[in-house]
Amino acid sequence: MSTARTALARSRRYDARWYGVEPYWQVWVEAGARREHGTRLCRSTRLDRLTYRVPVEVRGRRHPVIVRIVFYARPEHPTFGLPPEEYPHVYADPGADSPHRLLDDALCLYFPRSEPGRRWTPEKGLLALIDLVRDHLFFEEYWRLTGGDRGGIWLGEEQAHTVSVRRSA
Amino acid sequence: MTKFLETLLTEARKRIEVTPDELDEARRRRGQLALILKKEFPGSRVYVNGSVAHGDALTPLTDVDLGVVVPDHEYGPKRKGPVALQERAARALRAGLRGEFPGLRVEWEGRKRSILVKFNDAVTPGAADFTADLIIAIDNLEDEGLFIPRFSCWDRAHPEEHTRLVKQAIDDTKVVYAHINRLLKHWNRMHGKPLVSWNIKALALGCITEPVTQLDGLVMWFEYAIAELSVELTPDPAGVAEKPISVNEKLTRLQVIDVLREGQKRLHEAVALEKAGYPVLAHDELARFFGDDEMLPLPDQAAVTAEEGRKFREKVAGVGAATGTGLGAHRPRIPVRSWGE
Repeated sequence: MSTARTALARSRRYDARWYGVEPYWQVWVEAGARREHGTRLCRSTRLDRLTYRVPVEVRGRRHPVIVRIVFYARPEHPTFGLPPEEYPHVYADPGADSPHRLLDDALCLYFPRSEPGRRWTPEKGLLALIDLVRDHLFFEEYWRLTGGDRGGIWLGEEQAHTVSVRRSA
Repeated sequence: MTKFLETLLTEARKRIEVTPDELDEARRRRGQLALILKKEFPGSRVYVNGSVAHGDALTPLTDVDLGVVVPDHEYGPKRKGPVALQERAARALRAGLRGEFPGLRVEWEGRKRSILVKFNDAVTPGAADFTADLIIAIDNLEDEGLFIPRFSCWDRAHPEEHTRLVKQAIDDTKVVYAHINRLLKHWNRMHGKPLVSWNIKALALGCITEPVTQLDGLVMWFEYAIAELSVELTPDPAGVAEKPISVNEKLTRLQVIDVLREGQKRLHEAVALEKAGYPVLAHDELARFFGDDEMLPLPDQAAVTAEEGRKFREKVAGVGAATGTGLGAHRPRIPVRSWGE
Protein backbone atom coordinates (compact mmCIF):
# COMPACT_ATOMS: atom_id res chain seq x y z
CA MET A 1 0.00 0.00 0.00
CA SER A 2 1.39 3.47 -0.89
CA THR A 3 2.25 6.02 1.76
CA ALA A 4 -0.68 8.20 0.75
CA ARG A 5 -3.13 5.36 0.92
CA THR A 6 -1.77 4.29 4.31
CA ALA A 7 -2.17 7.80 5.66
CA LEU A 8 -5.69 7.96 4.33
CA ALA A 9 -6.54 4.58 5.83
CA ARG A 10 -5.12 5.67 9.17
CA SER A 11 -7.07 8.91 9.22
CA ARG A 12 -10.25 6.98 8.65
CA ARG A 13 -9.47 4.30 11.18
CA TYR A 14 -12.01 4.49 13.91
CA ASP A 15 -10.67 5.87 17.20
CA ALA A 16 -12.31 3.79 19.92
CA ARG A 17 -11.74 6.51 22.49
CA TRP A 18 -14.54 9.05 22.47
CA TYR A 19 -16.52 10.85 25.13
CA GLY A 20 -19.40 8.36 25.22
CA VAL A 21 -17.23 5.50 26.46
CA GLU A 22 -15.31 7.49 29.03
CA PRO A 23 -16.03 6.58 32.67
CA TYR A 24 -16.55 10.23 33.61
CA TRP A 25 -19.44 10.41 31.14
CA GLN A 26 -21.14 7.26 32.21
CA VAL A 27 -20.84 8.02 35.92
CA TRP A 28 -20.91 11.78 36.19
CA VAL A 29 -23.25 12.82 33.40
CA GLU A 30 -25.69 10.00 34.11
CA ALA A 31 -25.71 10.20 37.91
CA GLY A 32 -28.77 12.38 38.45
CA ALA A 33 -30.76 10.58 35.77
CA ARG A 34 -29.92 7.20 37.31
CA ARG A 35 -31.15 8.36 40.71
CA GLU A 36 -34.39 9.66 39.26
CA HIS A 37 -35.20 7.01 36.68
CA GLY A 38 -33.40 4.00 38.11
CA THR A 39 -33.48 0.85 36.01
CA ARG A 40 -36.00 2.42 33.64
CA LEU A 41 -33.05 4.28 32.10
CA CYS A 42 -31.35 1.90 29.66
CA ARG A 43 -28.05 2.54 27.97
CA SER A 44 -26.55 0.83 24.97
CA THR A 45 -23.11 1.58 23.60
CA ARG A 46 -21.83 0.90 20.12
CA LEU A 47 -18.51 1.82 18.56
CA ASP A 48 -19.73 5.18 17.38
CA ARG A 49 -22.82 6.00 19.41
CA LEU A 50 -24.30 5.95 22.87
CA THR A 51 -28.05 5.54 23.11
CA TYR A 52 -30.28 6.07 26.12
CA ARG A 53 -33.85 4.84 26.25
CA VAL A 54 -36.18 5.92 29.00
CA PRO A 55 -39.96 6.02 29.42
CA VAL A 56 -40.96 9.56 30.35
CA GLU A 57 -44.25 10.58 31.87
CA VAL A 58 -45.74 13.54 30.06
CA ARG A 59 -48.80 15.30 31.45
CA GLY A 60 -51.81 14.62 29.32
CA ARG A 61 -50.48 11.31 28.02
CA ARG A 62 -52.00 8.14 29.40
CA HIS A 63 -48.87 6.11 29.05
CA PRO A 64 -45.20 7.05 29.36
CA VAL A 65 -43.55 8.14 26.12
CA ILE A 66 -40.44 6.22 25.12
CA VAL A 67 -37.60 8.66 24.57
CA ARG A 68 -34.41 7.79 22.73
CA ILE A 69 -31.37 10.03 23.20
CA VAL A 70 -28.47 9.37 20.84
CA PHE A 71 -24.97 10.76 21.32
CA TYR A 72 -22.65 10.28 18.36
CA ALA A 73 -18.89 10.05 18.28
CA ARG A 74 -18.91 11.68 14.84
CA PRO A 75 -22.43 12.85 14.02
CA GLU A 76 -23.50 12.79 10.42
CA HIS A 77 -26.15 15.40 11.18
CA PRO A 78 -25.26 19.11 11.45
CA THR A 79 -24.13 20.24 14.90
CA PHE A 80 -23.96 23.94 14.02
CA GLY A 81 -20.48 24.37 15.39
CA LEU A 82 -21.12 22.57 18.65
CA PRO A 83 -18.99 19.62 19.77
CA PRO A 84 -20.84 16.31 19.28
CA GLU A 85 -21.42 15.77 22.98
CA GLU A 86 -23.38 19.03 23.19
CA TYR A 87 -25.81 18.21 20.39
CA PRO A 88 -27.35 14.76 20.77
CA HIS A 89 -30.40 13.86 18.77
CA VAL A 90 -33.51 13.03 20.77
CA TYR A 91 -36.41 11.05 19.35
CA ALA A 92 -39.92 10.44 20.66
CA ASP A 93 -43.43 10.15 19.19
CA PRO A 94 -42.20 9.42 15.68
CA GLY A 95 -43.95 11.51 13.03
CA ALA A 96 -46.02 13.55 15.48
CA ASP A 97 -47.12 17.01 14.38
CA SER A 98 -44.90 19.66 15.87
CA PRO A 99 -43.54 23.08 14.95
CA HIS A 100 -40.19 22.21 16.50
CA ARG A 101 -38.60 19.15 15.02
CA LEU A 102 -35.43 18.68 13.01
CA LEU A 103 -35.36 17.23 9.50
CA ASP A 104 -34.80 13.71 10.81
CA ASP A 105 -37.75 14.05 13.23
CA ALA A 106 -35.48 14.65 16.23
CA LEU A 107 -36.90 17.05 18.78
CA CYS A 108 -35.59 20.55 18.51
CA LEU A 109 -34.92 21.12 22.18
CA TYR A 110 -32.70 24.18 22.01
CA PHE A 111 -31.30 26.66 19.53
CA PRO A 112 -27.71 25.53 18.92
CA ARG A 113 -26.39 29.07 18.59
CA SER A 114 -27.59 30.01 22.07
CA GLU A 115 -25.05 30.86 24.72
CA PRO A 116 -24.19 27.88 26.98
CA GLY A 117 -26.56 29.08 29.70
CA ARG A 118 -29.49 28.69 27.31
CA ARG A 119 -28.78 25.25 25.90
CA TRP A 120 -27.92 21.84 27.26
CA THR A 121 -24.30 20.95 27.92
CA PRO A 122 -23.03 17.71 29.46
CA GLU A 123 -22.05 19.22 32.79
CA LYS A 124 -25.72 19.99 33.39
CA GLY A 125 -26.36 16.25 33.46
CA LEU A 126 -28.56 13.85 31.58
CA LEU A 127 -31.45 14.46 34.01
CA ALA A 128 -31.68 18.08 32.92
CA LEU A 129 -31.84 16.94 29.28
CA ILE A 130 -34.61 14.45 30.05
CA ASP A 131 -36.52 17.20 31.87
CA LEU A 132 -36.25 19.37 28.72
CA VAL A 133 -37.57 16.45 26.67
CA ARG A 134 -40.56 16.04 29.00
CA ASP A 135 -41.36 19.73 28.73
CA HIS A 136 -40.94 19.70 24.93
CA LEU A 137 -43.27 16.73 24.51
CA PHE A 138 -45.83 18.46 26.71
CA PHE A 139 -45.51 21.67 24.71
CA GLU A 140 -46.13 19.64 21.52
CA GLU A 141 -49.23 18.08 23.12
CA TYR A 142 -50.51 21.49 24.21
CA TRP A 143 -49.80 23.00 20.77
CA ARG A 144 -51.81 20.23 19.11
CA LEU A 145 -54.67 20.63 21.66
CA THR A 146 -54.86 24.38 21.06
CA GLY A 147 -55.08 24.09 17.28
CA GLY A 148 -51.72 22.92 15.99
CA ASP A 149 -50.99 24.42 12.57
CA ARG A 150 -54.10 26.56 12.89
CA GLY A 151 -52.91 28.84 15.63
CA GLY A 152 -51.75 26.34 18.24
CA ILE A 153 -49.95 27.83 21.23
CA TRP A 154 -46.34 26.89 21.96
CA LEU A 155 -45.82 27.41 25.69
CA GLY A 156 -42.04 27.48 25.69
CA GLU A 157 -39.71 30.12 24.35
CA GLU A 158 -39.03 29.98 20.64
CA GLN A 159 -36.15 31.04 18.43
CA ALA A 160 -37.24 32.88 15.30
CA HIS A 161 -36.81 30.63 12.28
CA THR A 162 -35.44 33.49 10.21
CA VAL A 163 -32.15 33.36 12.14
CA SER A 164 -29.64 31.66 9.86
CA VAL A 165 -27.11 29.27 11.24
CA ARG A 166 -24.01 28.12 9.46
CA ARG A 167 -23.98 24.39 9.36
CA SER A 168 -20.79 22.59 10.17
CA ALA A 169 -19.27 20.45 7.44
CA MET B 1 -58.66 22.06 51.05
CA THR B 2 -58.26 18.40 50.15
CA LYS B 3 -61.93 17.44 50.06
CA PHE B 4 -61.89 16.63 46.36
CA LEU B 5 -59.15 14.02 46.70
CA GLU B 6 -60.86 12.66 49.82
CA THR B 7 -64.05 12.17 47.82
CA LEU B 8 -62.12 10.42 45.06
CA LEU B 9 -60.54 8.12 47.64
CA THR B 10 -63.91 7.22 49.13
CA GLU B 11 -65.36 6.40 45.70
CA ALA B 12 -62.26 4.40 44.79
CA ARG B 13 -62.30 2.51 48.07
CA LYS B 14 -65.89 1.45 47.55
CA ARG B 15 -64.95 -0.09 44.21
CA ILE B 16 -62.42 -2.39 45.85
CA GLU B 17 -64.30 -3.22 49.04
CA VAL B 18 -65.46 -6.76 49.55
CA THR B 19 -69.18 -7.09 48.83
CA PRO B 20 -71.71 -8.18 51.46
CA ASP B 21 -72.36 -11.40 49.51
CA GLU B 22 -68.67 -12.26 49.44
CA LEU B 23 -68.35 -11.58 53.14
CA ASP B 24 -71.41 -13.64 54.02
CA GLU B 25 -70.20 -16.64 52.07
CA ALA B 26 -66.65 -16.37 53.45
CA ARG B 27 -68.00 -16.23 57.00
CA ARG B 28 -70.32 -19.16 56.33
CA ARG B 29 -67.46 -21.32 55.16
CA ARG B 30 -65.27 -20.16 58.03
CA GLY B 31 -68.07 -21.17 60.39
CA GLN B 32 -68.23 -24.62 58.82
CA LEU B 33 -64.50 -25.07 59.33
CA ALA B 34 -64.81 -23.95 62.95
CA LEU B 35 -67.64 -26.42 63.69
CA ILE B 36 -65.76 -29.34 62.20
CA LEU B 37 -62.58 -28.56 64.14
CA LYS B 38 -64.31 -27.92 67.45
CA LYS B 39 -65.94 -31.32 67.09
CA GLU B 40 -62.62 -32.96 66.22
CA PHE B 41 -60.82 -31.26 69.12
CA PRO B 42 -63.25 -31.09 72.07
CA GLY B 43 -62.58 -28.15 74.39
CA SER B 44 -60.75 -26.18 71.71
CA ARG B 45 -61.41 -22.53 70.99
CA VAL B 46 -61.43 -20.79 67.66
CA TYR B 47 -59.96 -17.38 66.83
CA VAL B 48 -60.30 -15.30 63.68
CA ASN B 49 -57.73 -13.08 62.00
CA GLY B 50 -56.84 -11.82 58.53
CA SER B 51 -58.69 -9.37 56.33
CA VAL B 52 -62.21 -10.70 56.91
CA ALA B 53 -61.79 -10.46 60.68
CA HIS B 54 -59.96 -7.13 60.49
CA GLY B 55 -62.51 -5.41 58.29
CA ASP B 56 -60.20 -4.61 55.38
CA ALA B 57 -60.96 -7.34 52.87
CA LEU B 58 -60.81 -6.50 49.17
CA THR B 59 -62.79 -7.79 46.23
CA PRO B 60 -62.35 -10.32 44.73
CA LEU B 61 -62.26 -12.13 48.06
CA THR B 62 -60.00 -15.13 47.70
CA ASP B 63 -59.29 -16.38 51.19
CA VAL B 64 -60.25 -16.41 54.86
CA ASP B 65 -58.12 -17.05 57.94
CA LEU B 66 -58.89 -19.06 61.02
CA GLY B 67 -57.09 -20.56 63.99
CA VAL B 68 -58.03 -23.27 66.44
CA VAL B 69 -56.33 -23.55 69.82
CA VAL B 70 -56.19 -27.18 70.84
CA PRO B 71 -56.06 -27.89 74.60
CA ASP B 72 -53.65 -30.80 74.43
CA HIS B 73 -50.64 -30.46 76.68
CA GLU B 74 -48.83 -33.34 75.02
CA TYR B 75 -47.93 -30.90 72.26
CA GLY B 76 -45.49 -28.00 72.35
CA PRO B 77 -41.79 -27.14 72.25
CA LYS B 78 -39.73 -30.01 73.65
CA ARG B 79 -42.86 -32.15 73.42
CA LYS B 80 -44.78 -33.33 70.36
CA GLY B 81 -44.67 -31.33 67.12
CA PRO B 82 -47.74 -30.15 65.23
CA VAL B 83 -47.77 -32.80 62.49
CA ALA B 84 -50.18 -35.24 64.11
CA LEU B 85 -52.62 -32.45 64.98
CA GLN B 86 -52.50 -31.11 61.43
CA GLU B 87 -53.07 -34.58 60.03
CA ARG B 88 -56.16 -35.06 62.23
CA ALA B 89 -57.49 -31.63 61.29
CA ALA B 90 -56.98 -32.28 57.57
CA ARG B 91 -58.77 -35.62 57.77
CA ALA B 92 -61.72 -34.11 59.64
CA LEU B 93 -62.02 -31.25 57.16
CA ARG B 94 -61.98 -33.56 54.16
CA ALA B 95 -64.67 -35.72 55.67
CA GLY B 96 -66.79 -32.78 56.77
CA LEU B 97 -66.65 -30.65 53.62
CA ARG B 98 -66.41 -33.04 50.66
CA GLY B 99 -70.15 -33.34 50.46
CA GLU B 100 -70.68 -29.66 49.67
CA PHE B 101 -67.33 -29.13 47.92
CA PRO B 102 -66.52 -32.22 45.83
CA GLY B 103 -63.34 -30.64 44.44
CA LEU B 104 -62.00 -29.88 47.94
CA ARG B 105 -58.25 -30.20 48.53
CA VAL B 106 -56.64 -29.96 51.95
CA GLU B 107 -52.86 -29.46 51.98
CA TRP B 108 -50.59 -29.36 55.00
CA GLU B 109 -47.55 -31.56 54.35
CA GLY B 110 -44.44 -29.52 53.69
CA ARG B 111 -46.15 -26.24 54.51
CA LYS B 112 -44.49 -23.94 57.00
CA ARG B 113 -47.42 -22.90 59.14
CA SER B 114 -50.94 -23.43 57.99
CA ILE B 115 -53.26 -26.00 56.59
CA LEU B 116 -54.45 -24.78 53.20
CA VAL B 117 -58.04 -25.63 52.34
CA LYS B 118 -58.79 -25.22 48.64
CA PHE B 119 -62.52 -25.23 48.07
CA ASN B 120 -62.31 -25.38 44.27
CA ASP B 121 -65.36 -23.11 44.36
CA ALA B 122 -64.75 -19.37 44.21
CA VAL B 123 -66.75 -17.00 46.38
CA THR B 124 -66.44 -14.19 43.82
CA PRO B 125 -67.69 -15.06 40.32
CA GLY B 126 -64.76 -15.18 37.96
CA ALA B 127 -62.12 -15.55 40.65
CA ALA B 128 -59.75 -18.51 40.50
CA ASP B 129 -60.76 -20.17 43.77
CA PHE B 130 -61.42 -19.56 47.44
CA THR B 131 -59.11 -20.91 50.12
CA ALA B 132 -58.84 -20.97 53.89
CA ASP B 133 -55.61 -20.68 55.84
CA LEU B 134 -56.01 -22.63 59.01
CA ILE B 135 -53.58 -22.61 61.94
CA ILE B 136 -53.58 -25.36 64.53
CA ALA B 137 -52.25 -23.67 67.66
CA ILE B 138 -51.66 -24.54 71.29
CA ASP B 139 -51.62 -22.32 74.34
CA ASN B 140 -48.33 -21.08 75.73
CA LEU B 141 -48.76 -21.97 79.39
CA GLU B 142 -45.65 -20.12 80.51
CA ASP B 143 -45.87 -16.85 78.66
CA GLU B 144 -48.13 -14.69 76.51
CA GLY B 145 -49.62 -15.87 73.27
CA LEU B 146 -49.70 -19.19 71.51
CA PHE B 147 -47.44 -21.65 69.78
CA ILE B 148 -48.12 -22.03 66.08
CA PRO B 149 -46.52 -24.53 63.67
CA ARG B 150 -43.25 -23.92 61.90
CA PHE B 151 -42.91 -27.08 59.83
CA SER B 152 -42.52 -29.80 62.47
CA CYS B 153 -41.67 -27.40 65.29
CA TRP B 154 -43.38 -24.52 67.07
CA ASP B 155 -43.00 -20.74 67.00
CA ARG B 156 -44.34 -18.22 69.46
CA ALA B 157 -47.03 -15.87 68.14
CA HIS B 158 -50.05 -13.97 69.38
CA PRO B 159 -52.63 -13.76 66.56
CA GLU B 160 -55.44 -13.19 69.04
CA GLU B 161 -53.69 -10.08 70.29
CA HIS B 162 -53.19 -8.94 66.69
CA THR B 163 -56.94 -9.07 66.10
CA ARG B 164 -57.57 -7.25 69.38
CA LEU B 165 -55.10 -4.50 68.44
CA VAL B 166 -56.68 -4.07 65.02
CA LYS B 167 -60.20 -3.89 66.43
CA GLN B 168 -59.04 -1.35 69.01
CA ALA B 169 -57.48 0.75 66.24
CA ILE B 170 -60.71 0.61 64.26
CA ASP B 171 -62.59 1.90 67.32
CA ASP B 172 -60.03 4.57 68.16
CA THR B 173 -60.01 5.93 64.61
CA LYS B 174 -63.74 5.61 63.96
CA VAL B 175 -63.11 2.99 61.24
CA VAL B 176 -60.71 5.08 59.17
CA TYR B 177 -57.87 2.71 60.15
CA ALA B 178 -59.61 -0.05 58.16
CA HIS B 179 -60.35 2.30 55.27
CA ILE B 180 -56.73 3.37 54.98
CA ASN B 181 -55.50 -0.23 55.15
CA ARG B 182 -57.85 -1.17 52.32
CA LEU B 183 -56.42 1.56 50.13
CA LEU B 184 -52.87 0.65 51.09
CA LYS B 185 -53.43 -3.05 50.41
CA HIS B 186 -54.71 -2.19 46.95
CA TRP B 187 -51.74 0.10 46.28
CA ASN B 188 -49.53 -2.75 47.51
CA ARG B 189 -51.03 -5.33 45.18
CA MET B 190 -50.77 -2.98 42.20
CA HIS B 191 -47.07 -2.41 42.88
CA GLY B 192 -45.71 -5.92 43.17
CA LYS B 193 -46.68 -6.53 46.82
CA PRO B 194 -43.48 -5.23 48.44
CA LEU B 195 -45.09 -5.86 51.85
CA VAL B 196 -47.36 -8.57 53.21
CA SER B 197 -50.79 -7.34 54.30
CA TRP B 198 -50.05 -7.83 57.97
CA ASN B 199 -46.95 -5.61 57.68
CA ILE B 200 -49.13 -2.82 56.27
CA LYS B 201 -51.49 -3.12 59.22
CA ALA B 202 -48.70 -3.44 61.78
CA LEU B 203 -47.13 -0.21 60.52
CA ALA B 204 -50.53 1.47 60.51
CA LEU B 205 -50.96 0.55 64.19
CA GLY B 206 -47.95 2.76 64.85
CA CYS B 207 -49.18 5.86 63.06
CA ILE B 208 -52.95 5.79 62.50
CA THR B 209 -54.08 6.22 66.08
CA GLU B 210 -56.91 8.75 65.87
CA PRO B 211 -59.55 9.82 63.36
CA VAL B 212 -57.96 11.42 60.29
CA THR B 213 -58.93 11.76 56.66
CA GLN B 214 -58.02 8.89 54.38
CA LEU B 215 -55.66 11.18 52.48
CA ASP B 216 -53.87 12.36 55.60
CA GLY B 217 -53.68 8.77 56.80
CA LEU B 218 -52.04 7.62 53.58
CA VAL B 219 -49.49 10.44 53.76
CA MET B 220 -48.75 9.63 57.42
CA TRP B 221 -48.43 5.92 56.72
CA PHE B 222 -45.89 6.35 53.92
CA GLU B 223 -43.80 8.71 55.97
CA TYR B 224 -43.89 6.36 58.97
CA ALA B 225 -43.31 3.19 56.95
CA ILE B 226 -40.27 4.62 55.18
CA ALA B 227 -38.79 5.92 58.43
CA GLU B 228 -39.35 2.63 60.27
CA LEU B 229 -38.18 0.32 57.49
CA SER B 230 -35.10 2.50 56.99
CA VAL B 231 -34.01 1.31 60.44
CA GLU B 232 -35.28 -2.25 60.65
CA LEU B 233 -37.96 -4.74 59.63
CA THR B 234 -41.25 -4.31 61.49
CA PRO B 235 -41.30 -6.09 64.86
CA ASP B 236 -44.36 -8.03 66.04
CA PRO B 237 -46.88 -5.48 67.41
CA ALA B 238 -47.87 -8.00 70.08
CA GLY B 239 -44.24 -8.19 71.20
CA VAL B 240 -44.28 -11.99 71.15
CA ALA B 241 -42.88 -13.35 67.87
CA GLU B 242 -39.11 -13.54 67.94
CA LYS B 243 -38.60 -12.60 64.31
CA PRO B 244 -39.81 -9.40 62.66
CA ILE B 245 -42.27 -9.39 59.77
CA SER B 246 -40.51 -10.22 56.51
CA VAL B 247 -40.88 -8.14 53.37
CA ASN B 248 -41.50 -9.67 49.93
CA GLU B 249 -38.86 -12.39 49.71
CA LYS B 250 -37.85 -11.26 46.20
CA LEU B 251 -36.91 -7.79 47.43
CA THR B 252 -34.42 -6.39 49.90
CA ARG B 253 -35.56 -4.00 52.61
CA LEU B 254 -33.93 -1.13 50.70
CA GLN B 255 -35.71 -2.06 47.48
CA VAL B 256 -38.99 -2.03 49.36
CA ILE B 257 -38.17 1.46 50.64
CA ASP B 258 -37.52 2.57 47.04
CA VAL B 259 -40.97 1.36 46.02
CA LEU B 260 -42.50 3.18 48.99
CA ARG B 261 -40.64 6.38 48.11
CA GLU B 262 -42.03 6.30 44.56
CA GLY B 263 -45.52 6.02 45.95
CA GLN B 264 -44.91 8.74 48.50
CA LYS B 265 -43.67 11.09 45.78
CA ARG B 266 -46.90 10.76 43.83
CA LEU B 267 -49.04 11.18 46.90
CA HIS B 268 -47.23 14.36 47.92
CA GLU B 269 -47.57 15.68 44.39
CA ALA B 270 -51.32 15.00 44.38
CA VAL B 271 -51.78 16.81 47.70
CA ALA B 272 -49.65 19.77 46.59
CA LEU B 273 -51.53 20.10 43.30
CA GLU B 274 -54.90 20.16 44.99
CA LYS B 275 -53.73 22.72 47.54
CA ALA B 276 -52.37 24.88 44.71
CA GLY B 277 -55.74 24.86 42.93
CA TYR B 278 -55.19 22.26 40.17
CA PRO B 279 -57.83 19.60 40.90
CA VAL B 280 -57.62 17.83 37.53
CA LEU B 281 -53.86 17.42 37.88
CA ALA B 282 -54.33 16.26 41.48
CA HIS B 283 -56.86 13.68 40.30
CA ASP B 284 -54.44 12.54 37.57
CA GLU B 285 -51.63 12.13 40.06
CA LEU B 286 -53.76 10.23 42.58
CA ALA B 287 -55.00 7.89 39.84
CA ARG B 288 -51.40 7.22 38.80
CA PHE B 289 -50.54 6.61 42.47
CA PHE B 290 -52.88 3.60 42.48
CA GLY B 291 -52.21 2.62 38.85
CA ASP B 292 -55.61 0.91 38.46
CA ASP B 293 -57.97 2.43 35.93
CA GLU B 294 -60.91 0.39 37.22
CA MET B 295 -60.48 1.46 40.80
CA LEU B 296 -59.68 5.13 40.11
CA PRO B 297 -59.81 6.06 36.41
CA LEU B 298 -57.55 8.73 34.99
CA PRO B 299 -59.32 12.00 34.25
CA ASP B 300 -59.79 13.12 30.66
CA GLN B 301 -56.27 13.68 29.40
CA ALA B 302 -57.18 16.70 27.28
CA ALA B 303 -58.40 18.33 30.50
CA VAL B 304 -55.10 17.40 32.13
CA THR B 305 -53.19 18.99 29.27
CA ALA B 306 -55.28 22.14 29.51
CA GLU B 307 -54.80 22.46 33.26
CA GLU B 308 -51.08 21.75 33.07
CA GLY B 309 -50.86 24.49 30.45
CA ARG B 310 -52.70 26.88 32.77
CA LYS B 311 -50.35 25.93 35.63
CA PHE B 312 -47.31 26.49 33.42
CA ARG B 313 -48.47 29.91 32.28
CA GLU B 314 -49.37 30.95 35.82
CA LYS B 315 -45.97 29.88 37.12
CA VAL B 316 -44.11 31.65 34.32
CA ALA B 317 -46.16 34.80 34.80
CA GLY B 318 -45.68 34.72 38.57
CA VAL B 319 -42.05 33.71 38.91
CA GLY B 320 -40.57 34.80 35.61
CA ALA B 321 -38.03 32.00 35.76
CA ALA B 322 -37.71 28.86 33.71
CA THR B 323 -40.16 26.31 35.01
CA GLY B 324 -41.01 22.77 34.06
CA THR B 325 -43.93 20.40 33.61
CA GLY B 326 -45.03 17.19 35.22
CA LEU B 327 -43.31 15.35 38.03
CA GLY B 328 -39.98 17.09 38.40
CA ALA B 329 -41.44 20.47 37.52
CA HIS B 330 -39.85 21.75 40.70
CA ARG B 331 -36.36 21.16 39.31
CA PRO B 332 -34.79 24.24 37.74
CA ARG B 333 -34.90 24.30 33.95
CA ILE B 334 -32.41 25.49 31.39
CA PRO B 335 -34.08 28.52 29.73
CA VAL B 336 -33.93 27.09 26.20
CA ARG B 337 -35.53 28.31 23.01
CA SER B 338 -37.01 25.74 20.67
CA TRP B 339 -36.55 26.09 16.96
CA GLY B 340 -36.64 23.96 13.83
CA GLU B 341 -34.62 23.50 10.69
